[in-house]
Amino acid sequence: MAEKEAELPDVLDKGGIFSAQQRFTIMLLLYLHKRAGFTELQKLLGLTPGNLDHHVRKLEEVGYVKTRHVLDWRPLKVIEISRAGAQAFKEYAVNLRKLLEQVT
Amino acid sequence: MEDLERFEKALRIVERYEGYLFRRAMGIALIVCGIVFPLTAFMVMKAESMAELLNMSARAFLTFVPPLILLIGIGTIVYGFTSAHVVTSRMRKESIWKDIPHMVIMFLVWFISFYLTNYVPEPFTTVSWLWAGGGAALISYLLNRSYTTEAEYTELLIIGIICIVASLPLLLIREEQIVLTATFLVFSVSFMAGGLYSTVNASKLLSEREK
Repeated sequence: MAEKEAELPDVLDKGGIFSAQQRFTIMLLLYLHKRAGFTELQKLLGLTPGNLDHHVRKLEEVGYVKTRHVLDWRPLKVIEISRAGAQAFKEYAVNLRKLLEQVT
Repeated sequence: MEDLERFEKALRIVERYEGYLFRRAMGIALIVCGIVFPLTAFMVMKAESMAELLNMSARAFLTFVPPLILLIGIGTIVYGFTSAHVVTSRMRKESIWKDIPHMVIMFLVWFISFYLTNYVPEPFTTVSWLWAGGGAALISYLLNRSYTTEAEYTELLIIGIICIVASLPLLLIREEQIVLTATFLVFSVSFMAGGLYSTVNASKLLSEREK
């Protein structure tokens, strides 16, 4: 059991990208809803724009999300999950579920 | 266990986001109802003069224009609610059928309210649509309050109060055409006010912190 737990970070989260609560939440939300506005995410997570931008950049660097600007009744920055991001998150969630089944 | 806690925390945030999406969709739906339904009724009433303006027959106008407006309106409402679909309850394995009796009761409240206007004596028939709409909105508000503690649906209270209060001065007007136009106008204003309230308040859900 102790061995299994020691292996956890590598098995579940390649590169520790989902280890931060904020990035995990952003990915779960985007996995379920495909896209969300930057301002909405900022309010939802209670982050400063710079702080959210840092997390989004981290996710962008590994190709899990992409940002684009759309023109609504005001200019909006929208964050979308990429196909690679959805796949990676799905794998992570499946592994997490398996692990929880083993633990409980 | 840390992973489970992280997941639970994320899920609660996503639920809050879905609550925001739903409230926003509801606000948009109310605003669309406030524009589309009175506008369609107005178009039907003034079909002949409108058709003349567009250089077409009244029959052709009635066949295409009001259904097209209705279709656009209903399409906008359906799109709004589809994009606000709730997935977290499915993840929590909550039954999607548990809300059905509540929705049936709400439908019956609105249907019976408007059905009863058939029994209102002639000079008050038009104004009674406002009583039906206002009464149904107030009953829906109370039913929602007793059904869930998660949301208040104050927009229904706003609609109800505007319809009922605005119907009172209309009782003094004898000219049927004015009463009819004013009734549509009151419906429009009340729904738009409720919709605006819902849309503005939806964003408050985003910033709500966990207690």
